[in-house]
Amino acid sequence: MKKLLKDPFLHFILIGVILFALFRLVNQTTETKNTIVINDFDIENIISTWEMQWKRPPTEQEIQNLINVNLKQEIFYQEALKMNLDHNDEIIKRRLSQKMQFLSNDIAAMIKPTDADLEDYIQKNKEKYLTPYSYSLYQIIFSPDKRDNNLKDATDVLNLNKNTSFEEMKSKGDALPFNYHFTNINADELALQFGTQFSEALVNQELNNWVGPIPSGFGYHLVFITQKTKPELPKLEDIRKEITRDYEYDYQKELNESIYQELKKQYDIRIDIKSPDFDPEFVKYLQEKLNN
Amino acid sequence: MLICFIFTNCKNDNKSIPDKTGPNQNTELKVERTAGYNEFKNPYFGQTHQHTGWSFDEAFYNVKLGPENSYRHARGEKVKHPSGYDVQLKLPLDFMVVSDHSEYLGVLIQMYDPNNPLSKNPLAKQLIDSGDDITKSTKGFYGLVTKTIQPDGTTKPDSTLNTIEIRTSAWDKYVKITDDFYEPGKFTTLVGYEWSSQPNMSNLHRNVIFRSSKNLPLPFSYFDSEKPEDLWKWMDSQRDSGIELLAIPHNGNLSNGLMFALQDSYGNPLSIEYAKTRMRNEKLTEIIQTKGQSETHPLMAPNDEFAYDFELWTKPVAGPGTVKVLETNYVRNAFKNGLKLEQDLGVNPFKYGVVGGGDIHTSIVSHEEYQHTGEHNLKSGTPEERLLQNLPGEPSKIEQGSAGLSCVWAEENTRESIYDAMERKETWATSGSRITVRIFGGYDFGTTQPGDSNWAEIGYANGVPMGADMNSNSGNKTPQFMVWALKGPNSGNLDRIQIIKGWVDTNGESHEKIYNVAWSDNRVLDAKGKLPAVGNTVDIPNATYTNTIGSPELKTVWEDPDFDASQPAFYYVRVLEIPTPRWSTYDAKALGIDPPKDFPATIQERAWSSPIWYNPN
Repeated sequence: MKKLLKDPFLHFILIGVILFALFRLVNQTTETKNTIVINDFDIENIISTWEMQWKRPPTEQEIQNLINVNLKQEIFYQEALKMNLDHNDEIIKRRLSQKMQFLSNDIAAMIKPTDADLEDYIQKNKEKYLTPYSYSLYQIIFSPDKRDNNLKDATDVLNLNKNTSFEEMKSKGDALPFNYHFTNINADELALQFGTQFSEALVNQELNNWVGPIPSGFGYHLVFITQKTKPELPKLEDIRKEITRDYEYDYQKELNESIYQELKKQYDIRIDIKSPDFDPEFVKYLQEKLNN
Repeated sequence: MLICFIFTNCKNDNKSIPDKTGPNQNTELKVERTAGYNEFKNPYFGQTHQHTGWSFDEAFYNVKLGPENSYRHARGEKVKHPSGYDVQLKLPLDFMVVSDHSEYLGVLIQMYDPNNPLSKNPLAKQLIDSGDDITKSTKGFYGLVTKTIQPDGTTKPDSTLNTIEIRTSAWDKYVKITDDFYEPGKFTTLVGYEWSSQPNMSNLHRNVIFRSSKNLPLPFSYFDSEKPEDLWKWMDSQRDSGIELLAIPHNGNLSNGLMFALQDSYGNPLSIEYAKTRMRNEKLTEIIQTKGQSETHPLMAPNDEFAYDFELWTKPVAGPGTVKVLETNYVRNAFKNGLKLEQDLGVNPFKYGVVGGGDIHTSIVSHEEYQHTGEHNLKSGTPEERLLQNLPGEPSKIEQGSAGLSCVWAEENTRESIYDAMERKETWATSGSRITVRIFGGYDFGTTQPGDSNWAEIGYANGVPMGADMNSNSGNKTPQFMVWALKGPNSGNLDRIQIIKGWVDTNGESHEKIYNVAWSDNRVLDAKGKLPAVGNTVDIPNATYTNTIGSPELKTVWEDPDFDASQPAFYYVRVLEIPTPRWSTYDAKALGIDPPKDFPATIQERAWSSPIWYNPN
């Protein structure tokens, strides 16, 4: 039951039913006798719209004019509805469909995520919240700017120096303004210095050996990784602000889409294109695509 | 040698050091430092000029994306461009200022919400009806602009869109979103907005940035006054009540001579009061952004070979016509005039640091040539719109550039640290790539070379960084400059480092000279100091290049060979990359057409440091 209560589509349908019932209730008389009631709500609306534009309340004469204008609009509107003139009007379509979308936004705003929702969200979006890999490593660079064949030089140094000390290895590469030794630097920070290609290449390198050559924006690197920390999922408490912000943002987007998909299920969508300009295969393809 | 001097991984012992520069920093207070804290400062790359659908002019172009989309994009997430496709940065930015126009800020976009009372405003119909129709959108935009801006350059805002309630609710919402995305140590958001004064289409725009998000006033807008003097008066009053804020003027190139004019807005000659007020409130200026560079113009600097064919914008900020090319449009001339004015007034009114801006309106940063997504939705959101769509009477699209970047040397990635770096002008600008630049000026750096493990420490101890002043030395010694530049990890190699000097001689005449100080590929200077071109590896049809020319890093210690201790001077650094494809060349490739003729297919991306000023005394 709790699950049901939280189902946004159900909310959407419920709100629809309630709106419809209210509409029936309010409009009971209009259906039979063509009555138009102008009540407190209407008059307030008329006045506040006027005030928004003119920065003062309307006079009695002006109120009377406004009611007349609105009455005329309402009668034409009612008659236009009866004649189905609202159908296939591009602007009315766009506006009404926007209203439906905003309805779902309102529902999204109403539903506050529980901790369980947030935990679930983290699990579903693991990739996004995993801490980056973190490394302690030594690196030297072979710059194309300083050598004729920096790839060959890097490979040669690698092959000849399997057991060279760190102290000695330091001078084998070229002087560029980067650390020789990094302690606990994460992959994102490495990417900002050497580029994404370099930081991503580290993931599959073996530990405690000189490896490479690994390319970066600055040349070829030889790398000795002493420690690698795998990505971890942070605890909810540590990223609550970020998670709540992202959850609400995504929820609103997804709700919009899922309500659309739910509603779409209730329609049978048929492609009835007979024009010889279109390949029948394409029409078939459209038919399949649109029903998914 | 353990090299540890530029990047955030430098481990510090978090010792409490006195902050010499930051205003309102009480050294008695125990301040909590973030993990990346470095007392000798880290380079941070960011954007100080970003618009979203919350700007009235972009809401008309069917942009329903706000500050949230900009923050997500800048911090590296995959987001939607308003035209519907996905965009993601290869490398995230460190900080971001969403600076939507203060006029109708966040108002028009609310009209898209049928439940919002603003959807009943007469303008809403026009906004919603125009949809993706560029002609209707443009008509709606100019309709509101002409209704709002009066023939005399003052404004008459639509009162239904400008009530205190509407303004407050939009501003509060913006500040809250900005706070939500602030992650000290990782990603900094600063609250800001754009004061959009442009009497008679002369661009006087300023971005106003706040140090904190607490107790902020509603923005002072073009609706309050079109005169910068009034903006500064308001800023002064805010500062008196404890709010810290600074303004960044931009697009001097589109100001028809007004941005760095030698008179005030009332036509009076500049006074010492004017100079002091201006410099109290304005610390930085944009040297480049999507609507062109404002460093200089070939007409002002005929001997500057790199002023030609580089991001020159010739149209007004909006609408048809051309803009006047005047000396007082350009930053380098303002620096020179500033030295002269300082001799008369005692205060230099144009002592600006530099940043790069975006001014991109789509909520997408768009500083990468290979991924430029246009300045405005519908007008330039796709390759077709940028290269093939012809909109008569509209600003040029081929002349628009990708965004510039604002870069700072700061202790850590926090609001306070980044704001304070801007306040002391320890900033540099790039045309979009991630070039890192550093300079120290002094008289005794000993044997220290830029790039040494302790060079920043020596630089600060025995000299001054970019954006600062140096005074004459007792023995009238010639100043030394330690200069260093590193290319971005995904960018082209570096061609050269130049130092651009301006000075005033004994007759009160100002001069400028460009020195090549470090360069790649063992080239040789000719007798006139000219350096042969670095070459060009760009394959135009395929929009590719190779880093087989140029250097990843350039550095030197330079002494001014023409130094005269009695002449006031400024020195700023300009770093050039090798030629790479311009965005229009990537677009042409995507469309399978030739890049537009009569416009450069390649670009030499560049960086500019804030100057160091030398004062004889």
